[in-house]
Amino acid sequence: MNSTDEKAPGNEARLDRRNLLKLGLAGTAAALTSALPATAQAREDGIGVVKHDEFPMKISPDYKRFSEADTSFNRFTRAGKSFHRKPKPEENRPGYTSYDWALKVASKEIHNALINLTPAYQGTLPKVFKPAAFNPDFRFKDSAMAHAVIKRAARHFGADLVGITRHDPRWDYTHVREGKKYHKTEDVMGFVPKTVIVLGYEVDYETMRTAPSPLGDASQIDGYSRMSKTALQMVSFLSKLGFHAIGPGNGYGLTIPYAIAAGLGENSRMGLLVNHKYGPRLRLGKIYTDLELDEYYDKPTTFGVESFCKNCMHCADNCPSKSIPHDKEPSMGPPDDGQDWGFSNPGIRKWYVNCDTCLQYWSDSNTSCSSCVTTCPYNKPYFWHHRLIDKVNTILPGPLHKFMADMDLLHGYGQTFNTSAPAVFWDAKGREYDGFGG
Amino acid sequence: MSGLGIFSGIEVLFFWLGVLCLATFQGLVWLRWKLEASWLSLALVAAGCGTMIFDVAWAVSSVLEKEPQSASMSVLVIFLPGLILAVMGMRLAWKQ
Ligand code: SF4
Ligand code: SF4
Repeated sequence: MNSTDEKAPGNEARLDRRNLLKLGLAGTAAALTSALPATAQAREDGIGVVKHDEFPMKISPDYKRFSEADTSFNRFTRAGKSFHRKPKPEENRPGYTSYDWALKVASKEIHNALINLTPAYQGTLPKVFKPAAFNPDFRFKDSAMAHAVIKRAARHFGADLVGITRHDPRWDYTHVREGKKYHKTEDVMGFVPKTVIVLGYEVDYETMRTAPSPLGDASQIDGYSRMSKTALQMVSFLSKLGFHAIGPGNGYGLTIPYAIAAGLGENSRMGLLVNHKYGPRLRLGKIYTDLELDEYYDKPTTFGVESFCKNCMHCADNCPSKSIPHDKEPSMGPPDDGQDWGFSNPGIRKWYVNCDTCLQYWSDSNTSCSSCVTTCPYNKPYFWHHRLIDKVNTILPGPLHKFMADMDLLHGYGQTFNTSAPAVFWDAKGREYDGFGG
Repeated sequence: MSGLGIFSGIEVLFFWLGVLCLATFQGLVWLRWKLEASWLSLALVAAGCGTMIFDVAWAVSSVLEKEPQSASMSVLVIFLPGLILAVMGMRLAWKQ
């Protein structure tokens, strides 16, 4: 296990500024040609942004639902281990000072206050909001209107992304945890859900640049507070329109497949959802309701992330615990040496991440790491040139994705363990990545 | 980049890019009118200037987002090829 100070390997393509200036046109041309190895893979799902009628990942007929008890977080806790230890400020270490720790811990307060209503983490049951319509005769004019109203309301309450999909029991846990007890999910749901509303929250780019550090964790944890707050307002809103609703955040089911089904993004090598606007810099929560939207559900969308991941290994190269696989292709189960992984549910074609070693690194570093997010080429501030490159990537053939991934490092992006990033975040001028410059 | 406290850096940048594009267009018209430059040379100059203007946009945006390495790299991979194209086009236009 590497220590937090140790730099993970894999940044070979990175140049310091002096070397960069020495690089001439000839070098650039050479880099262009050498970046197209014969092993680069082409995209399989089409060109550009593709909408799908079916779930876009291959699922084995043997795929079975999974219990919340078997998630890595719960296994870790059951084994008597803790992946988050007490704050330990180091006043001379950027990103680890008392104010960095205070920012992290304070970020969770809204979540803590709402934990018995709309918890964002597993382990506490959310309150079931029953129908309490102002007007018992109220009906939406049609499903299109209901769809639009829900999306507008969720954004009004603070969600950055909203996707709506049909309830799919495959993605629900068989059992959910309440403290040390486990319940059958259907027994505590309180109603038969028909729709799942998936809500996404941007994680601040400047704080993420400082990961792994308590400062890097702060905006992720703030995402959970925002998740609890928005979910509470949304379930209350739905209840006042005459529907049942619960906001279990990360609990009750797997949020990433629901988010994929709701068109919020694609799965990636690091196992996180990659969204077309925020990349992997995102927190996701969900709301179950018995509102029925007929055919007015969002469709899954792919835009080349799987092809990009086949040709880019940045997260795998930079993972300090080596938890992310380097396999070229996704597979239907964990790699051979992980057949006994209890925390991974096989039967979906994806890259299987070793969550146990990842969590062990969280525990060792006393952070939520997230180096994989920081180094991903899809993790960018919201600037026009990154939007352009993202669009170009959707139409480029697979082999050029390898070139784009290498260029990302050469341009200085994707750095991990960046000790100068906390100073940028705490800059006295309070500058933000919005180009306002002051 | 100062926006007088009214405009963002990106807004100021795109204003000046508009000015640069207009100047390029006027230069092309002048080359055709006064020097009777060939269409090939004009195409080369237009492509070169367009590429350099694109790089100005890229580099300034990179500085605004505090990634100066991206700005220097873009000068190598975008601005220099643009400069070569523009110089080739100008030499061709001048020879005629
Ligand atoms: S958070 Fe990502 S980079 Fe960090 S240990 Fe886990 S998988 Fe690896
Ligand atoms: S770092 Fe590269 S391989 Fe990893 S998730 Fe991002 S694009 Fe995919």
